[in-house]
Amino acid sequence: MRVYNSFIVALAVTFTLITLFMSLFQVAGLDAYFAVYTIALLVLIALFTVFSPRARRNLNQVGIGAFGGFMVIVAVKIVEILSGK
Amino acid sequence: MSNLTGNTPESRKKTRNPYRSLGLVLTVAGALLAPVFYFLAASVPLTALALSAIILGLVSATLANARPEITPEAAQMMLRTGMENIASLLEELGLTSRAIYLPSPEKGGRPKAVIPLKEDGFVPEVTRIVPDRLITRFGPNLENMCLSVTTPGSISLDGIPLVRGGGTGQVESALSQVLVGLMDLADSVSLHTDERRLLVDVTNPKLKYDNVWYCRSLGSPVASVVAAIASEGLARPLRIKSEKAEGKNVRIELEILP
Repeated sequence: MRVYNSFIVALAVTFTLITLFMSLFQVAGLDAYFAVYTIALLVLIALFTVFSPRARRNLNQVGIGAFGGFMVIVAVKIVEILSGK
Repeated sequence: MSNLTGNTPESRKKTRNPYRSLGLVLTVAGALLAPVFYFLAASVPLTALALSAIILGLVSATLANARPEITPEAAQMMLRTGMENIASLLEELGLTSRAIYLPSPEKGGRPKAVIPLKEDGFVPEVTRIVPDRLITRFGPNLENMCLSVTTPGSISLDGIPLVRGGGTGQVESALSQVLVGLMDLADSVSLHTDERRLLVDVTNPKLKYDNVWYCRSLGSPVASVVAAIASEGLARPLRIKSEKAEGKNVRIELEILP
């Protein structure tokens, strides 16, 4: 199960680095953090090609959930822009 | 009768799975800390970190569900049992000829490894092998008899998207999925090919099995898995020509038969 460990470690390191860099650039919106986390998660899922079909199917479900959240954030932002807030 | 309460497969799975525990700890900790960081500490980066812990926890819990229900030790014991039985059979019959790995028949079925009872250089015909028979004929002559066995490599292809005759690209991808992702037997796999042979480099292979009878005919367990998958992916009969250890790596040379 070393591939699972590698994936979890890679994800943890990526999330930490993202948080570090975004806080250095003083990003204040939680939605921005979530959007970047989602992109990082989807990229890592795509990069780890050696998962078993079952693990990939399960991970894709998490990816779809995160992507759904990302789309909600985008939709809210579009509504905000269109309503001129 | 002994008390089996709390010893069901389901409960054992729940208690022994470290990914599930990690997922639970991360999700709960993230969910508890996020409001504290947001409302009390008023720190967006720390709140984001708690959010990332929740995502990480969900990923970990998801991976826990993808783990096999039996332990690696149990799987290894069953694999060894099968290999010991085949080795005993080979020893009893005095078979020393090298196995030929065949792709699955076009009509469907599993890829097989056949061990000719007499090695006369005749390459078995896939269509002649009778499925589900241990001893079968593989050629037009009466003396073309062989042992037909299913190898771990054949079984490992269940659920792996490898098309019969899909080509070397699919073979390399399937080898990585099976040896690295599914079986956890190696760190990485790479493949080089020319017309008559296939060179497969396996980094840091884990499973060692030194039974002379088994290895002489079917190759090492890792080489056997490689040969079965390659044969299916190329839709060609293959034979393991050599296995060379180079430091932590093993180079497996497969001969593509006509």
